[in-house]
Amino acid sequence: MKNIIRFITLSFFLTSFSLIAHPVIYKGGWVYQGSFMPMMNKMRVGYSMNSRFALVANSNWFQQLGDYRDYSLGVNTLLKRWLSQDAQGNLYAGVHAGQYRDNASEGSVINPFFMADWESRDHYTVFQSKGYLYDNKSVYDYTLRYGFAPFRAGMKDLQTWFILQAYYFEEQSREVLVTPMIRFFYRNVLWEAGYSTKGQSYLTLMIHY
Amino acid sequence: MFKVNKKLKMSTMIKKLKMSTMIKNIKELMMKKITLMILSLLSLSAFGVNAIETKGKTVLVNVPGMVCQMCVQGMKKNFSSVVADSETDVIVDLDKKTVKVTFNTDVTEELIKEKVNDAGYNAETLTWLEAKK
Repeated sequence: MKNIIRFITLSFFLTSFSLIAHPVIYKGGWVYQGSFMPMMNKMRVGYSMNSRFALVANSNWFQQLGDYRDYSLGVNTLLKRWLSQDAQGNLYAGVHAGQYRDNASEGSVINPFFMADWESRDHYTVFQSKGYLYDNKSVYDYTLRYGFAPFRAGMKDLQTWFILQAYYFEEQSREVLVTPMIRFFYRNVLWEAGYSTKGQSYLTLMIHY
Repeated sequence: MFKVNKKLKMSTMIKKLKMSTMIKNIKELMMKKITLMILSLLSLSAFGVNAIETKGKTVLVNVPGMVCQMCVQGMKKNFSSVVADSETDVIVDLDKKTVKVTFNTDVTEELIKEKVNDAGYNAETLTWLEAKK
């Protein structure tokens, strides 16, 4: 059973689309993350030096952006965390720099990013924006999510969330891509699967240690 | 005779001078030691050092805002260096917002708070639990 889970995990990890998860986790924590759609994918490896800063390595691919692909390194930071008894709110920011290549050119790229979220045990909402600054261009994508847990599971049980995601990237399409999805969370492994209203499949996998 | 008296007076004066210098040095040394002791005690109390042994003991920490599995993972990882087995000795209750830790070494309350901070949270209160017999 463990080998089957590992196989599925690894195969999902090879493709990805919209990365939404904590950009910084706990001190000494590692994150491996990938999101996949047929025309886009995003991958990330991150290490949190403490609960406020993380070093990250990223890779993005957008087929409809002239087959754009980039590889970058950067820093994410937790700007502010608000804690109440049953919920938390967070503000994150980051900047990554690296190299890009598309059908027309190649060179350096800078990716600034910002994220705000609020979550409790039953609901969560997140907004994220990421920029791609390259070749005299500045393009941004935006993601908005709302999710809820139909039931609370124990720590050693499989946790389930239903999520609705709205994604907008002007360079890809002038429409908002809406994707309902289901998320499973078991111990330190998270995976999401969905199907957008435009008929595109979506998969995400995240593992943290 | 006069010379002997003069010599005697000189030696007495020198002895008195040496004695007073020695006394002065001793006083200074005593004052330094007392000051150091007071400063140590103050700093220990300021950092909330628990002078009792904690090995084998359990603490219950209130940690508001813990909502997800990653919070659990962070607590277990950051307390792993002071417990025998983080799976059984670090128990996180997301409903009650508590972390129960049983130590296999002596720790200070300051260290406990630091490890909760490393996991991304703040320790609200610490309560030492009685050991089960």
